Amino acid sequence: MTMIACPRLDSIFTTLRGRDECVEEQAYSIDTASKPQPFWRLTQVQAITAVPDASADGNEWIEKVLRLLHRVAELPYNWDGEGSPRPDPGIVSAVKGLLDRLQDSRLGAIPVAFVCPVGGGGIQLEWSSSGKHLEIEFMDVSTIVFLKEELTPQGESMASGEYPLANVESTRQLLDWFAAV
Amino acid sequence: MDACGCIQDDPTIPDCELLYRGIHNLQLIRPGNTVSSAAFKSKTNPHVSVDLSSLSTPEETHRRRPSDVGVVELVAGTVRTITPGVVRRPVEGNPAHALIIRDFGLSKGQREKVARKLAKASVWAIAPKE
Repeated sequence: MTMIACPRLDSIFTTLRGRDECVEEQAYSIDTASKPQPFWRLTQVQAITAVPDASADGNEWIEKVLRLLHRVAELPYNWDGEGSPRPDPGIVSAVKGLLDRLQDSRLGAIPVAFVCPVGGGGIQLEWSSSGKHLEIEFMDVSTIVFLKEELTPQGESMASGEYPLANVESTRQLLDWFAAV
Repeated sequence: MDACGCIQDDPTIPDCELLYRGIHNLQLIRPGNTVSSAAFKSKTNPHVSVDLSSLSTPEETHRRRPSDVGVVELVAGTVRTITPGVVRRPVEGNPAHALIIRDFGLSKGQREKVARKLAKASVWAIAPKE
């Protein structure tokens, strides 16, 4: 199995993991009702609601996606009631690796992606806006399958395909397509 | 199954039958609480597990899942316009269990489209716990 090394994002990921453990330890002493809470104290659903609505310029969205990825990566066995394992660590690394490489790209204003678990240990990133929808699924540690959908005057237009994860330019082009007005 | 071992639509399941499917709260897209197509994909299961409304209720389907899983319903007739159909597959403890036939020789890209269409055809019966 090929693992993609991305020390910068690994560091953020490790920090997030540490924060969650910290919250669990301090759960009995924190007054959570009276003050706004940092993201790592939000419940899973609150965090999902709060983050993807926000638009982000440049690469700001990538760190937010990492927070969501952290939540998905921590799902327990049988999270779907159908016996699914937690997301494959190799795929989690592949997602982080892609995000790391995208951080070096010049992208337009990209909304924060939703990070969705796929049964059997997969992960999908998904963007939706009025009129456009984009999803990229990590089939394994080396392949991405995408679907893009657009509402046109002629109706809904849907296209899909697959490409190697190593081909970051393809992901960049999909994100550029999504960001274009 | 037919002679070649392929899974085939079960005509005894009427088009008006509702199919209940569990959806985890991380498979919701907000705002709007729409369902992600991720809920209709799997790296390991070639078909999509559902419960038949003639043998189950949304509440019963919900009880068989973890607490952060909600339930959507799809109409069998609509599913048949997207995939080759639905087949009964009762399992121990769940006689209502059935499968939406998903893996029917499509490319990976075409499977993405099927999953997206199934997600868009889903209507909430029980929202996941927040």
